[in-house]
Parts: sequence; structure tokens; C-alpha cells
Amino acid sequence: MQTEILKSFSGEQIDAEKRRLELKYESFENLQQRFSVNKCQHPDIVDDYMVWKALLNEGDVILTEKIILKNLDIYLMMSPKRMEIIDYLVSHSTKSIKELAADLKRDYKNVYDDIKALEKFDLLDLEGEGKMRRPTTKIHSIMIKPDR
Amino acid sequence: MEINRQRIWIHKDEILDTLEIKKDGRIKYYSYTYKIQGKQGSWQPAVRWDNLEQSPHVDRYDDNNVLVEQKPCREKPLKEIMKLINIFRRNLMAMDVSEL
Repeated sequence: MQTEILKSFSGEQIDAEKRRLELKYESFENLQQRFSVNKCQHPDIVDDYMVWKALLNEGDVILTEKIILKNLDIYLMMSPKRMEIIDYLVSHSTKSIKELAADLKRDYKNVYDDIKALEKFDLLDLEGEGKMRRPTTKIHSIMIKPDR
Repeated sequence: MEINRQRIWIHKDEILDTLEIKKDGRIKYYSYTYKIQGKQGSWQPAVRWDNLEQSPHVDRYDDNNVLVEQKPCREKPLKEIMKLINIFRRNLMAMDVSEL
């Protein structure tokens, strides 16, 4: 059995992806320079460069991410409360974990632990720094398929 | 332009990160990186196939993330890479992967 989690990026999320790259490398030119010096010594730099270059391309860009889980560990981590968090974040935005806990009428510590568990499997992203880290999700669908 | 990223969990401490950039439905760039979780919890590249600058090749990295070997190899589709990884797993790090 395998689980496929499909994430799709809206225009706003594509802009956020560009901002993430800007934050990491300051500018495309900076990344280009690091890319030409390092090449395959740093695979992440190569991939970030190729992605940023494609994002700068004229015309429509479609960005998708898929997570494929071949083992069943995800089911040990999943619970109705954690599914509720994903479900809520798909249609609502929140400023912080604290605000999310208040929205869901749950204890902050329990929500924090759930967020960390979901983040481990890339089901959630935490944007920002420190206590103001904002949980978001780009999940479009979760599919369970027989392993062929 | 289509950018498709995938993270395939092979085992709890082994993943395959893939990136495919397509134009008009054809793959212009691909990278398939088999990674192992290090002691600090970060994902470290072990073996990587890509076609950077239209030169399909395979790279091998050591425990310190240092590129130790680069060899040309024919273009391989993701399905084939997955098959290799599922068969050889961590043994890939000690093999001549370009010959497979």
C-alpha cells in the first residue's frame, strides 16, 4: 500500500516560493553565481537554481509537489485531531499555532505536538520564526493506492 | 512550464527527492537524489542522477556531503531509478552505479 499526498501551489504560493528562495540566497544572481562555482557539489543549490530559473520564465508556471509514502508509518502518526488540523488549514489561514489552537478550541501544547508530527511527514509547513511561526498546508489531495 | 517535485519515502531514514521541469510536456531537467538521514536529522545526498547541462550523469557523495565521484550514465526514467533503489538501497553508495 502506498499513500500519495498531492500539493498544488496557487499563484500566491508560487510567489511565496520565490520569496523563500530570495530569503535563502538574497537574489537570483547570487544563486546563479553559487551555482556556477559549486555545480554538483551542492545538489540543493542546483535544484533551487533550476526551480528559480523556471519560476522566472515568461508565461504560466505550474508547481506541484507529491509525497509518496511507501511504508505505513504515516498511519501510526495520524489521528482524527491531526486530520482536523489539516482539514482546517486547507480552507482557513491562521497567524500562529496559538491562534490555530484557539480556533480549534484545543490546548496549545497538544496542537503544537500535532503540528510537529505533521511537519515531520511534510503534511504542513511552518512559515516565519519563533513563536509567530504560521502553520500552512498546500495539500490538494491524499490518495491511498495499492502498491503495484 | 511545469515544475514537479516529489519526495518518496523509501524507509524512515531513506528518501528519494525528485525534481522534473517540463516544457510542452517534455522533461527538460531532472534530478533524482537518494538521501539518507544523518545523525543531526538532516537529509544528506548519497547518490544522485541528473541531466544538468544536457549531460546525464550520476554523482556519489560521502558521509560529509562531499562529492566523491561523478560518472556519465545514460538517461534513466524515474521508474528505473526507483527499481534500482528498491533493490540495492544503501548498497548503492558502494557500487558503480553508472554501470547499472
